[in-house]
Amino acid sequence: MARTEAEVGERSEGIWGGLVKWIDDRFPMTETLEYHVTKYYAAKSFNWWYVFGVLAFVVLAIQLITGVFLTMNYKPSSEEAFASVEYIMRDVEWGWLIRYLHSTGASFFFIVVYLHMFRAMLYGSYKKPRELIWLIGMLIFFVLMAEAFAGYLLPWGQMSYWGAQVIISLFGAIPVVGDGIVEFIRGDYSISDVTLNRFFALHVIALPLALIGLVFVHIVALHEVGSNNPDGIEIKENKGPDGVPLDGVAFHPYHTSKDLVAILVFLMIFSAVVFFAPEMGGYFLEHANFEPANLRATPEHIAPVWYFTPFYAILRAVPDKLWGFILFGLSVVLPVFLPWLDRSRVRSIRYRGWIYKFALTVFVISFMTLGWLGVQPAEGLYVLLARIFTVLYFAFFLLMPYYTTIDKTKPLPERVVYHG
Amino acid sequence: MGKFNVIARLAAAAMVLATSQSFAAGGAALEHANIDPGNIASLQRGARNFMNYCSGCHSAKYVRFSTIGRDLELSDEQLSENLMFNAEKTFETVEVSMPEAAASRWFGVAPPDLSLIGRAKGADYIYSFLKGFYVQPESPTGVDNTVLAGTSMPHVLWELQGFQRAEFSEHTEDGVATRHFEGFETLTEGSLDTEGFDEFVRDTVNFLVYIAEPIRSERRTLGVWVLMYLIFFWIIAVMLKKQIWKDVK
Amino acid sequence: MTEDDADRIDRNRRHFLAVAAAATGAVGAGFVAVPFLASLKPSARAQALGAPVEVPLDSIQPGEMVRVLWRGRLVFVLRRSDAMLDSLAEGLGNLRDPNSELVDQQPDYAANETRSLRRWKTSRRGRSRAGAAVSSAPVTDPSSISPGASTRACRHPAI
Repeated sequence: MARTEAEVGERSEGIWGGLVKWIDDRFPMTETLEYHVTKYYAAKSFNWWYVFGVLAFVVLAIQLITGVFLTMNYKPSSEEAFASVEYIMRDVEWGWLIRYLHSTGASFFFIVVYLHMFRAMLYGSYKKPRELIWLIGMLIFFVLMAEAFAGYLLPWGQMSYWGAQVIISLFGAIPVVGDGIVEFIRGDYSISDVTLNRFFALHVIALPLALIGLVFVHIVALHEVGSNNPDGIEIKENKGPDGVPLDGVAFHPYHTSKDLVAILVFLMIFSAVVFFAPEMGGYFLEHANFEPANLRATPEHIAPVWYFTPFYAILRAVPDKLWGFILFGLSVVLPVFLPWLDRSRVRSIRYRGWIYKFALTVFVISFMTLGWLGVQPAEGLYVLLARIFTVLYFAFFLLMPYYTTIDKTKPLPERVVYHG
Repeated sequence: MGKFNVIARLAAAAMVLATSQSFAAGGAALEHANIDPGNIASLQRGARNFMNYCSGCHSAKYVRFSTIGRDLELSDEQLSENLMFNAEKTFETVEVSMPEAAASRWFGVAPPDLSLIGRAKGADYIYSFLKGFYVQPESPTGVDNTVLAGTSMPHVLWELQGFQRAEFSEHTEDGVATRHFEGFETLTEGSLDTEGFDEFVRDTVNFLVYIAEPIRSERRTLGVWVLMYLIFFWIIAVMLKKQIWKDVK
Repeated sequence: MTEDDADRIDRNRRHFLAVAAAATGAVGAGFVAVPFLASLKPSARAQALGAPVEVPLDSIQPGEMVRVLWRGRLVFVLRRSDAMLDSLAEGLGNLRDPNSELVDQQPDYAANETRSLRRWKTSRRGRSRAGAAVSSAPVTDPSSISPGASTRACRHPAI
């Protein structure tokens, strides 16, 4: 980012300008701000699907801040954990609000991230040259799953305990090393104080650090190649004489002002849950988790939290333990390969043919139905449905190289479509 | 391959328990408790009921008397005279005098803490449970329950409700026999009539739901203010966004 | 209206809205900060644990000193024997401020030569709340306390 003498001179006027210059001589502050904010150009044709990245960032901030304050009062021991959560809920002034923000934030993190990923699938944001952004994004998703899983054990309620028991036991399905891995994860012969303590360490230190690092790299990679847009064409190919993309507008103030509107709508929905339905009918805070972990009594119905249920349903759909585990793992990992599975010449769904539109619709229905099936008992019709939608889920990915090749695409426009 | 068995058992247990959920009540659907969390008088009566009939065996160890006093509009004197049988100071929590070890010996299991029962089980469950004791001579306590079969809890409220008999019908489907609860038949009258007893249980459940989350009404009030603020901010943000985007053609 | 005028009005309007949005956001941030900062205050449990400690004085023998912990501090409760009380008068001349008049350290009701609410004879029975009047760090080495000085450590109408 070269700066002309005139710009520098203008900036160094007054005390403020002097301070900025003083910093800029020692740290690329103005340069960084311009590169990432005031002179980062993204398409003016962004629709509301493009706000979920910013929203994910907002939720991350909520989780980090509330998490720090929860850690001040939480006790990571099997004897005290449950009571310390109730201590936060009742005895710590405003503790209930901080806890509800955090528990609601966990679920909203996944809502926002799933919609963010769906946006990428709608407009082909993972396609060349943005494969690395997608890969880093998938890594973020995996770390987020681990973070959520570790965090769910911490309240040490019945569902915390038995949910973790079931999920950790899954690794026992791996031949030869399975049992060893399970013991290695737990650090004990059952889920115990030891497990709780290490999950706590992972949840409050290791995984958040990884998350922040990956988010940083995700954004740096994005700003290197530039954002995709609903038309899936490169705005950099049409630049004005000043080098600014003709269809781009600066992140600030244009996209920031738009994002602010989105953030406020998001906060309204978020607050409505926090203040009026923090349990969200037992999906965000499960009823059984209001009972302390009891090793002698299994809860009536063990199900992971809703954001894991699509994958859990796939696991249960398979009669064989090992294959269930393999398909479960594959269903989580498969999206990583989207940039190479998708052979279409166009990125955006706007210019794809009916086949991809149909496939994506089937995928969305499958994912949501599997999510619903994951909280239902695995019996009768539910098992059959889970198997059908598991097949459809995998078909979306595995047949993609074929159907995206034969799908008839529409011609791309020269410039982005924007209606003011 | 011992772990396989563990997983299989866990999964099987989960499935069996999940499917048995609807039959856990012995076929009896839960009655609607119809509580009114805003009714302070009902909550006060519920607190009295709880302290007189429940707190002998059940603690509510996360609940402080001072919190109850604040939310139920009771003075310190009213608290210590009417509710604090086992506590001296209002900041104390609702403990139980019965030692846990002795309780386990007497009842097989220690009576659970009831601080969170309202959230763990829900109002309808507790309401139906408290009304669901019926005579069962084979049981050590002489009663069983339509909601929680085989419960080790005795019929604490028998003086108020009296004793009742439960009618079941037997069904055999695919070789599996299930019992369906049909209704109750009163054996001996209690000191309260049916409506009076329903009201008694309803007040008690109301109180249990309240102590499960004492902050509930406060969070709702605050929520309205937060939403009003966000709507105000949102209006400004929309106007600002429109103004800024005006020159984008 | 010329194009320049429209331009200027737009700029003013944009500036006004930007300031309004920033101000609203700042107010919101201020409100959000309250719960987080307030959560750092002593909790209901800390307040319960820090409640007044009761010391039954009738169980203390004359001349005996009882140490109780209140809010993390040692509070010394010395029940002075009659001999101790009588000897107080002898030492008064050596004290700079026998009646707590010069330095404002005692509550009003204890600003006297025994630094106590009232002077009980050993036969009197009574209960007192320790803590309520403790206002500064206690003397931590009880062996250094002479009978006359003990009232400094136990700034309270113990006896």
